Amino acid sequence: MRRQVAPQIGWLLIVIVVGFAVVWPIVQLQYRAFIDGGSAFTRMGELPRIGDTVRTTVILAFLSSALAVLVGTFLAWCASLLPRRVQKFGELAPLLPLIVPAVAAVTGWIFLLSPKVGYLNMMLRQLPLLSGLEEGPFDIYTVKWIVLITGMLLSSFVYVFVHTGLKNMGQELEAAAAACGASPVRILLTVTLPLLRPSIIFAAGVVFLLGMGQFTAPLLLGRTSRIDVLTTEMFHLTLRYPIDYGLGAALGFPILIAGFIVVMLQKLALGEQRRYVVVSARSKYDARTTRWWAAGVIGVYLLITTVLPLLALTYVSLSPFWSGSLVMTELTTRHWKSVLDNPVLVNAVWTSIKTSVIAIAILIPLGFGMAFALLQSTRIFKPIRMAIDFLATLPMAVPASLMGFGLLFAYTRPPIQIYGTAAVLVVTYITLMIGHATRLQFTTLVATGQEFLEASKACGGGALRSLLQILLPLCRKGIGATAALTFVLLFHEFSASLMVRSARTQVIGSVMYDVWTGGVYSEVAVLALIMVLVTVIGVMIAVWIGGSESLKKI
Amino acid sequence: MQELKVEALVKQYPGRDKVIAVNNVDIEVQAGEMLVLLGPSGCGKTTLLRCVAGLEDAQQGKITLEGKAVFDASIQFNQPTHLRDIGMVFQNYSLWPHMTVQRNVEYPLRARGVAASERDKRVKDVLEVVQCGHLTDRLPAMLSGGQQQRIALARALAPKPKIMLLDEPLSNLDALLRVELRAHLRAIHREVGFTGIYVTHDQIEAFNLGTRVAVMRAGKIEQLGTAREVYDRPATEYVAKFLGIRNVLALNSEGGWMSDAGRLEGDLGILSALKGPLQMYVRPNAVHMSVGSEAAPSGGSFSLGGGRVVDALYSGGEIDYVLDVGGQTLYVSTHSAKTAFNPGDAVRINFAHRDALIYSNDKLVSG
Repeated sequence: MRRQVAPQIGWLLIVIVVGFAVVWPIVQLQYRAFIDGGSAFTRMGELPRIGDTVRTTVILAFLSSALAVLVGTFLAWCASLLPRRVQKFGELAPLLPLIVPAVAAVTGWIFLLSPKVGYLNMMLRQLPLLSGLEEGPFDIYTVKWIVLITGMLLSSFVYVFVHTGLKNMGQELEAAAAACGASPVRILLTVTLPLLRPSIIFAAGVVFLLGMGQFTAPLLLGRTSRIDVLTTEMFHLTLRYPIDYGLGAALGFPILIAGFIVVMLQKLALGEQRRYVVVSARSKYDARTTRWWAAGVIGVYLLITTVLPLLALTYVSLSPFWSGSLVMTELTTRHWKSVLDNPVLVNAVWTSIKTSVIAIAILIPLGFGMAFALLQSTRIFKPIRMAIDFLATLPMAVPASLMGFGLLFAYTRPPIQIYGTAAVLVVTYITLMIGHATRLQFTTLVATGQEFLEASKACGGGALRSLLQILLPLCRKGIGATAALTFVLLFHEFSASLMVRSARTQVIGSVMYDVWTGGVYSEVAVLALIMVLVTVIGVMIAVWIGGSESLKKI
Repeated sequence: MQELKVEALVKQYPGRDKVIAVNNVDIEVQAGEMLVLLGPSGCGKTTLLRCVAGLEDAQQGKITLEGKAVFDASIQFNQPTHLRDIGMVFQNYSLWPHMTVQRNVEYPLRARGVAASERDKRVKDVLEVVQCGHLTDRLPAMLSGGQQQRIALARALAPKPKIMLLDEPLSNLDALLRVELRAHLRAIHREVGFTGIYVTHDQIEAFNLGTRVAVMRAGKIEQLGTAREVYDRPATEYVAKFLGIRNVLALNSEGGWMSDAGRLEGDLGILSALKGPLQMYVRPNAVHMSVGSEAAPSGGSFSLGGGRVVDALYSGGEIDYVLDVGGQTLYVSTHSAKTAFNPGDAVRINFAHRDALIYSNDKLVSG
């Protein structure tokens, strides 16, 4: 139809602009890895300890994601056994680690498990059997602990998917199996787990990618004992001048390929729609068996992942200096004052807020448009829809650190030379989050249903009227929650920010790293707590707008 | 005058199997008429309705509303839904949950730029028509299913559209409410006199409401006629089956008329002009039973002997008998006040010529 061609041009424009933002930095960077007959790979082979680096990356990806899947699935199962009195809080509790930015959690753990002055280590050395030790018994600066901490950080993601899967499944299907004479173990093996398989596979893919691109924990924990992964090697490159982009591209290449394979395998194993549509057989009858020990398991998890690191951060932020001894009488607010009086740090916090807000102002309408396009089965040409789907998936498959490295390369040279300005942060944030903003609003649109829009058209409402009076009011909650959650994720952002920051454009994550390398740990604790506070406020706004379900969308 | 004219409409869904949902359909709806599209799920009736609404884009054909084309594939013209001046009632009502009843019903009037004073009057009037004048300030979530249905109808009626499109509007209601609203809808149609297309899979709904009824099959109109015509003379075996005519006899003319339930007896004169094979359809309530030893009645009816009662199902005012006649299962329903038979009884069945629907090559040839 002739008249249907005109609107396509607008969608095509979106594809071109977003495609440029998302694909161009990666393509251009990877091109550098292969010119000169792949000499970048030769340089990569000549890097000191490159074998160890690759091995650590692989170990970290596999072991931390395996740990995350085990812990996350077990937690989801425990949550399904929670007694009713603690059910509401208990189901949300495993999500709370997501509120603590990774960089803050890792810092908290350093305060607890640093071999000499970690608070937990000091306390353990008070025990009779360990009293002879000078340091330890635990050394957080090892691959083992990087894997453990990364696995714990990622387990919340697995919990989100598996818990949602369990919830949607309801108890009817398990009850039906029991009525057929199946034992609890048989039910678990023949009904529950097979039905959860899509959730578990999807979650495993997500955490494997996150483990593969893991940056925060290896960077902060690996420095002392010179443990590196591919992403931290890339970061080290950005600190030298001139930056060897070809080498960085070569380092990122295996991650990119792994990401591609994982996303393909996920799509093959699940099919596209399965991610959004779950077999539903919900019953109003709540005839679960409940167990109090399940609440205990979740409590311990919450204590380890959230409460202890936050306590350590709070204590260090109020101590004169981090010495490892717990003396309550000498607490001081000096570090809070010095952080709040330091224009560089305060500026960085403001830059974080400003760039995030500007990025969100662009991300929300753009993501809404892309989500809307994905839902149009006939009115938008299929190639355009496929391109939009691809662009909404790609940023989720490429680790933020790698994306950041590519963006640094793309925006330090013509045609778009914006490195050193706040604009590069805004563009980086948009690139990182466009997939997220699209997917979240897509689920909102799917839940809203097409009928309301059709009813508006049938009543004579034109496109603008339908959008303003029907679609936007109905999606208000989902859009608001998406905005608040995107803000939280951007305020947390550490990996890509660290790559594209410059002396003049610092954000909270990047100054925190500087303060950390400078050894002023008390101020690191203050900054980490500011991150947590702003996050809590953001999440509260999201929950206030979109209900407690929106927490699971992180 | 024709309010709506659909000519040679084709709608094919993309995808591997290329389902043709609407296959070369022609229909005309006269002003004030209610045309019912009747058929099982998947026959294309809803797709046809949505094509008229402009919610689906057809590939071929032409749709004209009040003499003006709203869709014409030959010149690639496709008027957007909101400009077609239609009123539509959706199966799940699709009342906007964030708007009150008042806002929902006045929405189409606002969209058409009707002045505020006129708007209020129209909303008030139309809510009176559907007997919901007291609900103006409620949100849809505070309404019962029946009330939601009435509001959805009011919303569609409010702008006095050229045509009303109703997509299974009663199918989400429970049985009693459905009967009540069916009568109400019929009264409103008489009172307001709108032109409409009504989609349903329920034949009683279709016969109650339809000025004319179109039975659809695999994207085509199988039969189009008044309710009476469709009920009395189903044009094809498909229509007869869809209407629930359960007794089917396959007849062969080799040495008299043999059916798959035994030799056909009685007055066979009217079959003399016909050649086999034939299919004979008889409604269960048109079949009469007598004691098995009786002879076949001679005038104006057909008869089959050698039957045996398998089961007798009491269902209130009627008894439904399941019979085995020469190896075929046949069904008879009789008024329960009549002589009762018991399982095992030997019976003979008779039915009048006028109740036998005879098909040759899928065409009705009797009567």
